[in-house]
Amino acid sequence: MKALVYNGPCDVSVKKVPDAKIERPTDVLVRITTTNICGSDLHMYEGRTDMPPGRILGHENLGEVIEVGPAVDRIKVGDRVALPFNVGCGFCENCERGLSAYCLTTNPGMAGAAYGFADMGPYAGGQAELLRVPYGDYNCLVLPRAAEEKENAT
Amino acid sequence: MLADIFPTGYHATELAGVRPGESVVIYGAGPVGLMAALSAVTKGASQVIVVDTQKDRLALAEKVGAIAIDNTEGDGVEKVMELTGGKGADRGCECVGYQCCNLHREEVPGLTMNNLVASVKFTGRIGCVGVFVPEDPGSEDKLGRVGKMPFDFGMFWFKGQSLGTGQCNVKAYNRFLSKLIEKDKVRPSFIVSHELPLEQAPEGYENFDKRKQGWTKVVLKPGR
Repeated sequence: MKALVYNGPCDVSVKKVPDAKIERPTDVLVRITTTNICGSDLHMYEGRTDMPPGRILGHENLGEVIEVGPAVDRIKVGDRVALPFNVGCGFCENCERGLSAYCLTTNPGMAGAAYGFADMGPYAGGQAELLRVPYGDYNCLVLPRAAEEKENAT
Repeated sequence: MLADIFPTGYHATELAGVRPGESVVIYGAGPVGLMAALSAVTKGASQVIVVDTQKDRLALAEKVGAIAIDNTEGDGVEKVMELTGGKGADRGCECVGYQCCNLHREEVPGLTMNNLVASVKFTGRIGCVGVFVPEDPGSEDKLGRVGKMPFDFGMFWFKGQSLGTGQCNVKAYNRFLSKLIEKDKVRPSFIVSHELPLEQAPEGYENFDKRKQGWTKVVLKPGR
């Protein structure tokens, strides 16, 4: 798939990388339709973090579910989903209290994980054709049918 | 917008405790600051004031009903005090972060927080969602390199202010914020300036990073 890769300070490029895929039974695979550049991506872009070269950026992601892992119950293929930048598990002490930005299991040793972000876990970003979403049932917000129209009317 | 910036802007107003009828000062008219302004207006704040140095972004703040203050045209803190009858705003939001700059485009990490302490009222509350980091080896500022900054703690304490910080728990808000979009109550995409295919992402990064006039928010479309 094509993805926006961080090469080094002020150097990003679109490259061919291995397709994102379902890695765990609770994963969902999303075909990205819209993904934004965030001001916080610029800290990494400018080389002001310890982001290693080769990683895919992008944490403002929206798309269509094209595959679900065998343990995914709620989310269906074809759902249009908005993905919180946080990657949460839904079952740790913090997620239980609604503090999904401080999930204790998705970024062990720290609290809080995100897609394509320095120091926030190994998750690839969504400035790409495909995105793996861990704990899909917990992390996906399913959008109504009319969302597609609004997405393209920006 | 639902993945991050709209919930994050809303989170700033939650951390600050914004209630209907209150006044709010927001530092930063970038995408998150503009979403905080939209959220504060939606919550029924009586006065939403946005401070920045970029005219194109301040114009967007005015579009959602906020009062824009251009820091390059005089002291922003003084103007906030004037607008709030000398009292200061009831609530404050920090939507810039550790790379905030002075008028000479030099990074001064404590600038926005200290301006908030100065322009929020006695007993007022500040919500800080701008990113601050434990270490920043690339900083030109000696304290900044080790994640510290001079903070007017004496004045903060003297004014009896309080502070909420940190990343947004998006799931706490995204469902009900999505309903506002679905039912045409808000249109956060008003900030989008560029829609590009994924291939043009490097160009998007370069222009957005340079704060090039008119590049307020870049949306990428991998499918195109």
